[in-house]
Amino acid sequence: MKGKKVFKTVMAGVISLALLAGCSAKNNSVVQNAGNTNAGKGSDDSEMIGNMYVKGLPIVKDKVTLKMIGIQGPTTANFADMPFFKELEEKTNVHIEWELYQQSSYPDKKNILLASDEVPDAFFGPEAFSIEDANKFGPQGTVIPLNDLIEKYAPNYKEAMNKQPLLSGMSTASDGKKYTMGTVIEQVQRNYPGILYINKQWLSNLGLEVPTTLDEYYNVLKAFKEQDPNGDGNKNDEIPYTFLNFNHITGYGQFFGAFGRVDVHNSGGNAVDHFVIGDDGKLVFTADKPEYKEAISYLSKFFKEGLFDQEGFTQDPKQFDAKMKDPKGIVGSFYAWSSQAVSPETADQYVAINPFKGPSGEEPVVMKRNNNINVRGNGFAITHKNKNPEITMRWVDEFYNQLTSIESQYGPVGIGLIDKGDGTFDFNTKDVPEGITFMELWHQNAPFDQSPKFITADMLGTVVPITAADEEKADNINKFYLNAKQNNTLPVMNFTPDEIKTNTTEGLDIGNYVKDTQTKWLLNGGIDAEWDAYVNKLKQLKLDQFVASMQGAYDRVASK
Amino acid sequence: MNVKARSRSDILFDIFNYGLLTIVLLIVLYPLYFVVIASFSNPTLVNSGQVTLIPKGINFEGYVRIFNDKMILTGYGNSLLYTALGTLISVAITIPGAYALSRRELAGRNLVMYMIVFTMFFNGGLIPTFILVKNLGLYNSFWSLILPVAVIPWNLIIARTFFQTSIPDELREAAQIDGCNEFRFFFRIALPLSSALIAIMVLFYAVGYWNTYFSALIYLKDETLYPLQLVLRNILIANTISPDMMENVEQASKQLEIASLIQYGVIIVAAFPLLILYPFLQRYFVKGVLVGSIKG
Amino acid sequence: MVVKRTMKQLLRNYQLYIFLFPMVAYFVIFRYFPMYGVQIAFKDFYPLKGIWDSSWVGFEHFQRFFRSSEILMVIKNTLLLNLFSLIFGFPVPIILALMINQVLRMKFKKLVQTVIYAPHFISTVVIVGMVSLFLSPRSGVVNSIIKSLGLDPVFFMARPEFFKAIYIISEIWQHAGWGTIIYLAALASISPELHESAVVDGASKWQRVWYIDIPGIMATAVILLILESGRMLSLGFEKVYLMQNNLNRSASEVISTYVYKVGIQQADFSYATAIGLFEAVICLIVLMSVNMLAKKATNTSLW
Repeated sequence: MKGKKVFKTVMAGVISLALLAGCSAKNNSVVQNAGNTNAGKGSDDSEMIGNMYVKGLPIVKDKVTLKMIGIQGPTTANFADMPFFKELEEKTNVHIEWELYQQSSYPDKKNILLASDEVPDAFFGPEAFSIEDANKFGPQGTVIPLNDLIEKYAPNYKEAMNKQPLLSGMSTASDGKKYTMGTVIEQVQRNYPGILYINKQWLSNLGLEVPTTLDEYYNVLKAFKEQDPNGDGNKNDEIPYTFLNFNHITGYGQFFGAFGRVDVHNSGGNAVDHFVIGDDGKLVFTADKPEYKEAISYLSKFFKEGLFDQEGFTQDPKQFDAKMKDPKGIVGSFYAWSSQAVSPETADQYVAINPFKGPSGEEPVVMKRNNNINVRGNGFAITHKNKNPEITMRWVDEFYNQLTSIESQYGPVGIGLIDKGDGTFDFNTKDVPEGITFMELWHQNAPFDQSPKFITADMLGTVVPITAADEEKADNINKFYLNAKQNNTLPVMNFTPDEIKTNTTEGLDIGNYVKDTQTKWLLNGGIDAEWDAYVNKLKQLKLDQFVASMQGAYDRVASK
Repeated sequence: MNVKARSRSDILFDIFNYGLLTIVLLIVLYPLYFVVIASFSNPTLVNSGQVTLIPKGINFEGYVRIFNDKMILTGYGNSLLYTALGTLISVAITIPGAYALSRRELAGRNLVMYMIVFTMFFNGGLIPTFILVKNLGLYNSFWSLILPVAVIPWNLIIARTFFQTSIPDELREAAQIDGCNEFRFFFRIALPLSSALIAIMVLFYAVGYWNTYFSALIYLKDETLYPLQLVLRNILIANTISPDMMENVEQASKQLEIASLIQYGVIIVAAFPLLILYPFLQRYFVKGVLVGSIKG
Repeated sequence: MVVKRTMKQLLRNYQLYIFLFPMVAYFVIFRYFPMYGVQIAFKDFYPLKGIWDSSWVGFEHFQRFFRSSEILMVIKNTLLLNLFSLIFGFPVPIILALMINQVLRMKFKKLVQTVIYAPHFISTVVIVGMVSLFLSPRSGVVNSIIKSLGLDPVFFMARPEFFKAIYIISEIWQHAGWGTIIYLAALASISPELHESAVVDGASKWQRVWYIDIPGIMATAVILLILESGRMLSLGFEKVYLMQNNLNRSASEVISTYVYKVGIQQADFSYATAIGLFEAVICLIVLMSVNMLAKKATNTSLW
């Protein structure tokens, strides 16, 4: 009895402590309005608001420091040491205190920081803050709406939105406000993700023809496996085909096209796996169709017999790259963006080939990404903790002017680029330090694809040269893919809170179930016996409801 | 007749018993032994299964690369610091607390005990704990690895039971009559009698701190603060070996070999401090500190 | 009257309370204080509003969890993994302790003890690292043996059907030796006279183990069993999380890893807290019912 009383008292203490903490956590800083600071003139006669110049560079009179979170790619240098950011700081007089994370640990870290409201002044880069994040944390107030700030302080970004009309719609959250600024990196032929390559040296070493059907491909891979095509006396170091798990560029899902419909894996951040757009504008969920079943039961033997690399299911991009880069040549065939991009050192061993016809001679279907994959609605977001939103907006607007955009991609002029004097630029291939390629030089001097920017297709080949990888890619697309039958993947979509809930319950369940069964069937077989139960289970998981919700989200994009 | 039969069955029992224990011994020892020899054998031979009992193609390249790696060395230093400091704090809180709880005249001790046991089964979860750590200003500081886990309930129970069973009430009563107050009694009499307990507590807490990785994953952002286990996780589980360690290794196949050499090597390096601590403390294990621990 | 006496007692023992204070402070601040956060299981948690000011939604998150199809898989994995761990893992230390106790050569006994305690001190990260090194399809020892027998290498870590076995075997390898300590201590406290009189009566070693040693450690075993079953649902997060990959997920997803995924990787904080709360409640129920069963069956219990 006495014990209970004491317990109550202690609990009361605990609760009142909690109440206190609840109160003290409420002093959220309110976003300052630009209007209420003193307007005036700076010493050099340009118009100023407080410490900030309204136009031109530098942005501020006295140095300002902003805290930002970003991602450090596996091959990129620390932003703080990058010549690109050092030059930008000199130009703008804004210092950035970086908090950078590895790509693999970033999502967890970001969510913990969001949950505890321990956010920096801004999220930097297209992978740092997604459209889903904006839809969720924008209305809650963690990140602030940018419409007014863009209107007042972002002339470059406004121009970019005029030039690329998709940008505005894609950066608008489902409540109609813009919480993010977008990223545009157009490339020549960005629409076709993977190109199939085969090792031509191996083919000629073994006296084999280039395969044109899946059956022929099977025989070629079998020969790669059983003989010694790289001729080093070791029959066991050849990997006939390797890939990255659940990746739409290097993945095996593209082989499914030989059976009439590709299997889309993880294309571009949204939960759009296993969907393609049908001819009538209706979405098609592919993983319960007969074509899907046929493809899996056929491809299963490739895994069972070791022709498809089982380690593909667990290896990371680094291990994949290491296999591709082995100078001895240990990989027989692969799908990739371009062989140049994966491994310039060994690219000449490989040739691109036609997508395969099916076992009974059906015409192949290839995957085509939706146009607006070049355009992303996200790239930069300002949080409610930011005390200088105007300065931040002026700073990020720099990224959307042409020179800064290309410098953020290829490195500053003088390091990664050479100024030809007429407004156009060349890649600096001469001053590359020994041991790295000029593309690796970009990663060390500029944020590359981890920053917002605006690079459009019409700049390629005019303002900046087309890279060898892009050129090769365009050639191969024209030769092998442009005229093939196509499956369109879903565009990047903006989900409403209800749709997000469907995606994270029904969508997640379905996605996981399809993924688990797909791997199981590919590795161990058994799809014929379990197919009916599988289709029924999908129904139980409310596939119809999920597809309808996706269709709704798609219709909104399509009608724009 | 009877005696003979009995001894025969006993002999059989012994043969069986010793034999089986020897097998157990080998099962436990062999993986450890294999890691040791694999860490300085030729990786090609290791990977093709030719190294089983004796090291072959001895080389120390893995260790050279490990000891030249900045991340591992900083991690090592950090872990040593966190372990030393954390153990000191934990033992300093646990032992006096457990002593007080072992005293029958302490009003409310059962309630406190229940509250402590309750936390073994129930907690507030990751996000509230994170918010607390952040509000206390511990985020991205090594205190975040120490303070939130400063007292482990299980260790506390062991310590309390030790005091209950090995410090007799009569001893304290006699001391009290001599005018010895609680402080004096604890520091002058109880503590010196508890060297075995202190040793065990030091070992338990030190092992806990040395092996921690998850809270580091959550609470730390600067790589320079990372403890060794987090560095190890990247090398062993995520298979990401820093490019610096791969300097001058061109071929991918060679890289994979060096990688496994490094992986075996770091296992040994990580276990080293415990290998040193272990023999000193090992003799206390048998002393029965843990005997009644569970009758709490 | 009572109050007065208590006050007096408190005063007299103030030094003891000074000893107690840091520890109680620790538990209040770091263990109890965060428990107020459990309420977000019944709220729609908006980080900006904070835990306290987010709006109530009742049992919505729980309903979502029970609607989800993953729930069955996750609960099944959690229960099976723990049940198997208990069935296979629990008896091993007992058997080992009984065997070690029968060794009369002190040197051998010491050697065995020293060796089998050692793996307990290896970190989870390293253990999982060792397991994946040994089982690697390309370079692991196990697959070298399989290949030398002319069979195809098996990618153990990627096969769901092997996951539980790998987990449990490595768990036994690491902790069974250490688990003997408590039983050895209990065996040491059995009165030697019992054994002596049994020898006089002509009992064999086997009979003495069966009729004296085993009953002697029964109480200890029951208490440990209760504690283990109470903690079981929440145990092993770090190890499972480290051993998990996309391919063995169907066998390796347990409640604690699922909570982490939903809560941290998908930022669904309230939902994750609700699942965590569900787990804690199950845990308490298991603990209490095992305790009750043990009380009925053997008259031993925690309270």
